[in-house]
Amino acid sequence: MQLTNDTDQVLEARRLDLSHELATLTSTHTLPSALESASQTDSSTDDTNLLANLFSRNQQLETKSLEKLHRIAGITLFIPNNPNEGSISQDGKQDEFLGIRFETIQNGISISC
Amino acid sequence: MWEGVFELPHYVILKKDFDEEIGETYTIHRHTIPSFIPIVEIYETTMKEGVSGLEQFAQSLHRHLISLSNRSAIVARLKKVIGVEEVKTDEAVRLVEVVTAGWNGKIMLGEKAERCVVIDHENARRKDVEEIILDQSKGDLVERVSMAM
Repeated sequence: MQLTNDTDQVLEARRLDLSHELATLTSTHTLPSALESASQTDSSTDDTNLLANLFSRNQQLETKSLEKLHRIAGITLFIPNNPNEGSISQDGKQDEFLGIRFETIQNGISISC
Repeated sequence: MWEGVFELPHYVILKKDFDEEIGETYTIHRHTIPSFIPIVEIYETTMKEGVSGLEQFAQSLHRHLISLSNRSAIVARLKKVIGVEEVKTDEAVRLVEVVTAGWNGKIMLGEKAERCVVIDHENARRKDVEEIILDQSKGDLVERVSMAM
C-alpha cells in the first residue's frame, strides 16, 4: 500500500514536471513566433509610414519651392480661408474671396547670369 | 541668380460680388496696404470695368508698394552714411530730413527727381550743398549726400 502511494506521488510529480515542461516549450515556441509576426507587421508598417512621410515631405518642399518661385514675380493670387464658412452674401450665394499677395524685395542684386 | 531679402508682404482680400451694370466684380474686403496709398481710388479707376481690371489694379498697387520699398531702402542707406547724425521721415517716406554736424537738409523724394532745401545751423541757406544733392549726374541720392558732407 505504501509502495502504491509512493508510486502515485512520483508519477504525480513527474506529471507536473512534464506539464510544466510542455507549458514552457509551448510558450517558448509560440511567444517568439507571435513576436516575430508582430515585429514583421510593425516593420512593414514602419517602412510604409516612413516612405509616406518622405513622399509627403518631398511634395511639401516642391510646393514651397514653387511658391518661392511665384513670389519672385511680386504678385500672387490665392484663395483665402474663410473663417466664417457658412456666410452668405446679400444675393443668397455663399461668400467667395480672392486674396492678392504683394511682395517687394530689398537689396535684390544679380549675383550671376 | 538673384540675391535679396523679401520684405513683409502686403495683402488685399477681395470679395466676389455682382453688379447689375458690369456683372461679376470684386469689392475690397480687407487689406494691409498702408493708408497713404490711395487703394480706393486705384480700385475705382481700374475696376470700373469689372473683373477685367483686376490685373491693372494689382499692378498699379504693386508699383506704389515698390516705390515705398525703394524710398525705405534709400533712407536705410542714408542712415549708414558717415557724418549723418540723424535721418527722419514721414510715414510715406516722401519727406526725408537729414541732420549732419554742418547742416540740416529736407529732401522730397519724387518718382523721378528730388527737391531739397539745406539750411545750416545759423539758418543760412546752403545752395552749394543743394546743388550737389540735386545733381543727378553724380550718382544716386545717397552717394550725392555723401559727397556733400
